[in-house]
Amino acid sequence: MSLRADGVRFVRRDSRGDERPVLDGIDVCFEPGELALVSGPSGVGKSTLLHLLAGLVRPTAGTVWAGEEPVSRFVAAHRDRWRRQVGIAFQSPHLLGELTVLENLLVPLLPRRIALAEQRRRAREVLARVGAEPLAGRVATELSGGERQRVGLARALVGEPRYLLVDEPTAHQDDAAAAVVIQALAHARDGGAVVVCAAHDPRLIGAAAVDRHHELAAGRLTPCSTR
Amino acid sequence: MFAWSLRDVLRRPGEALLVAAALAALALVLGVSLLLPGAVRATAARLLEAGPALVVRRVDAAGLAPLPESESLAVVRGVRGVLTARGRVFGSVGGPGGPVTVIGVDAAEAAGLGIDAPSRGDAWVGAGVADELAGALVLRGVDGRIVEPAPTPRRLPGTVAGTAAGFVLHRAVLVDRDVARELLGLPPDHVCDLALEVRHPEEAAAMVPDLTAALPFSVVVETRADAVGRVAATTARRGSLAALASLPAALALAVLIVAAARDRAGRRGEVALLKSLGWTTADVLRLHCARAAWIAVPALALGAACAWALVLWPGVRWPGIWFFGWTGSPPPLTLDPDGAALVLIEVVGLIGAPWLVAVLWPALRAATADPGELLAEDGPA
Repeated sequence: MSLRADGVRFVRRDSRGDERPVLDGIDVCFEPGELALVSGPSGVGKSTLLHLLAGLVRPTAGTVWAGEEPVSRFVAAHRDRWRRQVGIAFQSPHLLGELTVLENLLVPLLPRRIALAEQRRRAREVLARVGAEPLAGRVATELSGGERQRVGLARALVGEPRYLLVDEPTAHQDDAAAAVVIQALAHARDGGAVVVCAAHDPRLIGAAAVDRHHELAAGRLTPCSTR
Repeated sequence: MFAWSLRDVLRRPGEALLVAAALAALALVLGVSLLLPGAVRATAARLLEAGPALVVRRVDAAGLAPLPESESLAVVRGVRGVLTARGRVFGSVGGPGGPVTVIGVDAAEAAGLGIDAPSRGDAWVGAGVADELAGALVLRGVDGRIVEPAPTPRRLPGTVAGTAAGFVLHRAVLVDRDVARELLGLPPDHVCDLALEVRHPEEAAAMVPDLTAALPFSVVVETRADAVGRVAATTARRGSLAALASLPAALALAVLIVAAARDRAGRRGEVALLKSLGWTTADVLRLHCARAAWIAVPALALGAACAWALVLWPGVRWPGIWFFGWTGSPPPLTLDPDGAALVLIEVVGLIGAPWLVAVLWPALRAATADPGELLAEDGPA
């Protein structure tokens, strides 16, 4: 099922009550089996768009649709359940510091009633896919920035999501690691997932795996290229 | 989820241990302050229920006075409703380790306790006195006279010590009635009071005027209910001292609750992360409940068990010393099983419930907020 933003507008209110429009009339549809890239300078609202698509925040106006379902209008409990179909990797990975990498990967699987052995198998598999299997036993606080980023991506992948939303996945990665990350995204896309990637890394913008490229500027999304 | 919650607790083992220790200490203080007055009251009430329905004491201008036994018994036995009446000889004298209660017993009373009646030159002593003896029993009578009632007194058997009477007899010396009279300075054929059993105990209070009128001297008559009430009032006064200990405990509980709530509020980003990874609000609350249970259940159980042991464990000295002034090894206090269960429920309710609320409320608030906003607040990790 596709993931669609329909006239989505988002206004951020700061602590003083001042309002700042971040997104202003986003209309876009991401299809299954597609790796879409959203690029744009820092602070333009790429992460906010991903959060909106993941159902982590509600749009000020407009609707986010998953297939025919208006996700952004769901009641909280329904939205919580829908979110199990989403895998999100944040720009700051938000790993649980006192846990090992493997344990961090088990966190999304815990409420899903999957046998522990299967959870571990899946976790090791996705760690291998992002080139982070040797890190499985390390505590998250001991990792470098690039390693944390890849573990964050692995955590997003471990639930075999229908919608994969990834924020700056190649940040802090050397070229070899960035290639592994792009390959992992392509693998998810080939599995039929909707993959939306927010980045301003030229290595990702120019990657052959990217199917569609949008530019986000001044709160609006503009198509740049389609392969 | 339950096993994972233990792993989650162990992420911060020092903090978990500290909270558990604080909860256990609170349960201990609160448990003792609730158990102690209840145990003393229950024990005293049990003793008094086994006592006489009515007690008649003579009073004169100087206070309590001895009653002529034969004459008094003849009069009270003639009062309608009185079933049995007997004179009692007892009082406080100086013993080997402090004051002891000397009791004059006759053959019938001794048979009731399952012991031989002590003759002149013989005595039975309670466990509290026996523990203090270092040789012959020497007592100091009310007029300062030193009396050696028995060169080798016998210790009251365990079969007596375990009964209600045994509780009273802990610091007692049982001697021949005439020996007791000599120690207490009573004239021959005189007793300290009269213990009456009546046909209908519920009508005992109604018999008080008849008894007062029948005797040719001034008396006060105390019913069993009066005695229970008097003891209850005394123990309540002392019990309220124990309850004072629960005031700082309540303050400590408030501090703990505020700290727990602030700590959980500080971890809103963690809840938001779980939500963004597909956890529902119910999953988050289940995790927090299980995490709270791993800490609180063992801590409260340990605290309550220690409180129980501190008050009701056989051989515990301090309640007897505080409430009854005993100096030897006192007999155990008792509490009805229902009473102990109620106290445990109270302890769990008074500490566990507010603490659980302090833990769950911030988690619930965080779980129902938009995760994206909280993650933005939490900053990079």
